[in-house]
Amino acid sequence: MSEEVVQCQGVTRVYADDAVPVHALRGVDFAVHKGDWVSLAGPSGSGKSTLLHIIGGLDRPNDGSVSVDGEDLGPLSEAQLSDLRLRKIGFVFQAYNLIPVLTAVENVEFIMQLQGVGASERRDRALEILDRLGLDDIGDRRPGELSGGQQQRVAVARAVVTDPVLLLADEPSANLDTATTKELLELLRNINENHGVTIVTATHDPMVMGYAKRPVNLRDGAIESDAGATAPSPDA
Amino acid sequence: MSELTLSPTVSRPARQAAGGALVTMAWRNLWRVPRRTWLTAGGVAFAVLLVVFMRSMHGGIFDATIKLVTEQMSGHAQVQHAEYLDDPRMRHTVEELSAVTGALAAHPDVRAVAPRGIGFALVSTESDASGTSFGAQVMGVDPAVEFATVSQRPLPGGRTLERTGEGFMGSILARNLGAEVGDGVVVLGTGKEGGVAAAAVTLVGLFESGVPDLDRSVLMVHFDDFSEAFGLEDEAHVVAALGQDAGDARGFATSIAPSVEEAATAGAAHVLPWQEIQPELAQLLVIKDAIGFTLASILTVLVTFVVVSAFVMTVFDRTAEFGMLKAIGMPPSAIFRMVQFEGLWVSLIGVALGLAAALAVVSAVAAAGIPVSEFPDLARMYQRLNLPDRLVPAFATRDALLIAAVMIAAVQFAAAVPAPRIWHLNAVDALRDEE
Repeated sequence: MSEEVVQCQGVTRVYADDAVPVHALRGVDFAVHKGDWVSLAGPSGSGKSTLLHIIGGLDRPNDGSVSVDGEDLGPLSEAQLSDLRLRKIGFVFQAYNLIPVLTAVENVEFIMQLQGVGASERRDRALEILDRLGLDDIGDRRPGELSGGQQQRVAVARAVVTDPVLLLADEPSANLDTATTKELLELLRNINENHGVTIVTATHDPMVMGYAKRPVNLRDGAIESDAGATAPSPDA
Repeated sequence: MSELTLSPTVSRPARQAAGGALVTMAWRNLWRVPRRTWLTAGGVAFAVLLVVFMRSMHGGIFDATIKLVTEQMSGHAQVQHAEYLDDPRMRHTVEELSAVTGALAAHPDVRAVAPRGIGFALVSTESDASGTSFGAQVMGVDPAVEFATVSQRPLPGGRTLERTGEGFMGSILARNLGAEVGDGVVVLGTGKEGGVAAAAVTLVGLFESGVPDLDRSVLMVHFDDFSEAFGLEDEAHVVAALGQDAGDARGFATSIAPSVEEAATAGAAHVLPWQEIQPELAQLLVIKDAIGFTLASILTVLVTFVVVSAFVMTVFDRTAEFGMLKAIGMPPSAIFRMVQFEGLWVSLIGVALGLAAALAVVSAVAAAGIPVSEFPDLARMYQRLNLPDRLVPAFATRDALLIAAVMIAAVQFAAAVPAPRIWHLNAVDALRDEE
């Protein structure tokens, strides 16, 4: 069995804000192995985004446990979770969510600044990754001056520049056209296959599911099918 | 796409990192909504301008008045007999006057020393056959010192004291006596030891101080004439001393006290700043400060409300962005610091604009001056007090720095008001809001 990057056991999430509690996740058992690209799919309300957020330490389960890279998230404080996200997890969002006042290269640098990487090293690494993603000519532009596809590729660059243990992408193609989505998915495949970055995506998009090594379908807060449940991906 | 090279970073706590990035981001964030930034900075600038201008006008008017009045009347500090302030009797004198004035004259902080004798007597004119006399305060002064600094100006047709045998009188007292310049005036009172104090002087000038009580009661004579008439021997009732600045009279008094104590009879002479001799004048300063404090407080509260409102809006507008920053690992403390830096930038802009505007306005008004003649009653009072005929502000540097610091602190406080929302922001909800 390969190394588990994510381990979920009996994860339950109930939203009790309204009069009728909503069971977003119902005792989900789920693991992601190093080098996997797992695609969480399912209709709206199936719990895929909730599971992604819980894995990323942005939300907490009402019951069950989650560990990332061997670290149990349950006992961690908000500050410790924040630090864990900074050190181990890269995020790609549906709405790109780049920092609007920073240029593309500054956005990529920002995570490294939070990590305390020296100025020259982080600039070199940011420029290098933008270059390798074919974004070297837009490094000095702010997000408002970039197309959706360019913004999402910068977001990917920001997410992977520090070599995270896990890359989480929530509906990464939702705002992209087909051609741009394909470019993005090729990029993610490169990162996954050539650099062993473990990826978990939550998506409605069949094209994204098609690129993933391991589609996982959720329905009504439970896993309906998991292509890799008995056949973990090989190590990268 | 080229081959990617990913390498892990060696990290240190995020709260210790990215300080420079936060400052830069804060500055750029200000210009995402320029109108809001200018309105907020404008509120700060207006408050600074108003407070500095008002304090500068006060400085120009109140402080100049106090400067002139202290130089004309009390001096910046006085040496008196220990009991004279509460019990101004003829026998409560400062002894060893020569030693005291010599010590003061030698003190580096002292600009001028003026011994004065003060007594009460009946005065009448030699030419008045009916023998009409009035009670008067007779002041023995050293003309060389007293009139070289400031003191009263003579009315037309007369002059100030110059030598012994001369008298210089308040205009109302002269009118009551029917005395004119050139008339002989007789002084008759009680000397220090209880004997008769008598002197005859020639009136060389009249003055209008603007203080009716003075104009109605004061006759100035040469200090030597006074000493001889009232039986003083190397002593005076007060020794007025001028330092460099009326505003620092307490420091001046403290500075000269050791010299006086060394020269005078032990424990007999006290040094008092003008604030203790003329407490009513000192209260003017208290009133000035109270007015300034009240205005500054009101403006600070108003500005704080404006800035709170602006920053609450800012935080609400950027909820999704803050959610994203939390999601990627930026600790709430760093987000909070970024917002505080935004507050710092906007307050610095406002303070800089406010100070520049205040400097320009104060300089312009100072160059032209506000003519007192625009206010006839005030003009008459100013003329009588020998005050300038134009109101001129003096840039209140200390107050400017103080209000700048207060504004920066107020904006920092205001920017911190929405901090709980940042701290407790749920990143998932925040990101969902945007989607």
